Amino acid sequence: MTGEQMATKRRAGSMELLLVALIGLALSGSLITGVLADHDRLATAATVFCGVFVQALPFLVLGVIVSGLVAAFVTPERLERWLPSNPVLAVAAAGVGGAALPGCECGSVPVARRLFSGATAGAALTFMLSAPAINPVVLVATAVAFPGQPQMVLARCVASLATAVVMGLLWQRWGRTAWVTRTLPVHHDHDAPRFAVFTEAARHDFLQSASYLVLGAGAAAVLRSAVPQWVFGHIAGNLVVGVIVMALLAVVLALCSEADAFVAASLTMIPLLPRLVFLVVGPAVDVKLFAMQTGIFGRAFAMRFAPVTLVVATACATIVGLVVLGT
Amino acid sequence: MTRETQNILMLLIGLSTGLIAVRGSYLNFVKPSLLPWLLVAAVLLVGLASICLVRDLRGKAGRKDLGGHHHRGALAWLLLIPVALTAFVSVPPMSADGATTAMQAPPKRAFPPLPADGVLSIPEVQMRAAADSTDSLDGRLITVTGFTKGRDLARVVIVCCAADAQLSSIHLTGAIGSHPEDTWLKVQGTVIPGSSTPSTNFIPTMEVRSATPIPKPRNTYAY
Repeated sequence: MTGEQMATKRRAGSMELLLVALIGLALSGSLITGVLADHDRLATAATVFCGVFVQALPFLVLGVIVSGLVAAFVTPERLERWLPSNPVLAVAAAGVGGAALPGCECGSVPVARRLFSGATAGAALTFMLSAPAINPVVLVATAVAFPGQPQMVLARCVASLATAVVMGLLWQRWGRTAWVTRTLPVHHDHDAPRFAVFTEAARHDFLQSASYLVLGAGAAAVLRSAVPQWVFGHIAGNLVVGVIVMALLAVVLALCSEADAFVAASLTMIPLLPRLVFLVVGPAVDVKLFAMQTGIFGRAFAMRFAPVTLVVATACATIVGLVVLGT
Repeated sequence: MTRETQNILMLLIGLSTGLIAVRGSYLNFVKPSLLPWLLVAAVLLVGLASICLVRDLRGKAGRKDLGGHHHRGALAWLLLIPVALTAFVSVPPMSADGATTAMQAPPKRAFPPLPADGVLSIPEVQMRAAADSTDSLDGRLITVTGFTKGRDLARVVIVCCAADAQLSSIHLTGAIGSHPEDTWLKVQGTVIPGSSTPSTNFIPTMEVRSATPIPKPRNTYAY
């Protein structure tokens, strides 16, 4: 059997599987509806899942459209030219510049790898951390999720920017390029039409981030319906415990930065400060980002970068939260 | 998973988003103000998926150039879950039991005057009873709608989406009549001054003048 024949067979396989799944759903839809009607906690979980997913979807679509445009029109070379030559200024500029490039954290990891080279390394990492955290789409989503609490948007922006800049400066002081073991795949095609580049990037980013959004919404649904209320009561009662638990929760849930504000807003029984920690840690480091960093930068890099990011992000969020939000 | 299957899944997400927007079942999950954004997202997703599908059908050349690596493509199967829950299954709005009750002592402030017809939402009554420095509820006949929960009239409140649902309620006393649990009522009466205290969890008590059963509204949430 030739490779092409095998590919054709596999393709037919996944499409058939999808058809079977859809027919199965069409036949069992009313049965599942009945099961939900009889089981309160299952219905609650399904409602929370749909709430998080449906609320986040328009923001996600907006994000991937913009990230597709960026992929088509903002070349890495152009971005590098915009950076100041002074490394510290470059890190600061990259941090603020991240605000101009809306996208999910999933999208910023490969972009940062493209920008990553000896002199711009710190700036590239700062950009990677700031772009998904402080861009307009994320800040608007945060403002929508926390109506009447603009201080939450301010605190998130300041704490995330501080995290990104601190990490960039730490890299410039102690980072070693030798840790980055993965080399960049060279398949840069300058002949590809811009529209094709745009749709391909938007398509790829949507599939990646929407899939992770399903995971995150599912985790939020399980948490809301399975974890008893007194657990949240304990978290609410102790600020230190709350901060640690919410930081770890952000790592485990691995939410998209355009959706995490809605999940944080849903955890109404927890005070604002631990929820701010959740919002600052999430876009900077989580299990999905760790996996992506391992794949794109290399294991030696990710093993060092991710834990330090977790500590720095938690510290920045706690300090900024104490100043901006109070206790 | 192949590119074609991924594109179809993207198309299905767009179509099911459009479906819940048109059907109105999106109101079970989010606020009415999200409707235009849902429609825009649905149109963009259907458009993007169609463009990718058509280009892949036309030839393999473009696909190879753009580096169509199937990196972790299998994860996209997860997109079937939201498609299933929005297009094939009807997921109910958040129930009273699923909503949290977390009312904290709000700071006192001056509220605007009551509307002339006295029609208020239950969360508004609860907020005014707990935090209005002008005591605008005192001695006023008001009308509220909600569902019965024990001796209370309640409403599920969402701030952003169903995931943040909270329960808002008023104790009822007086001429209520007997209604089974979870009956939707339109209730007229006056709020007893001073009945919203920390010991009642800031749930005020209403002296009922009349209570009329009404059909369950299409949008069960208050905002």
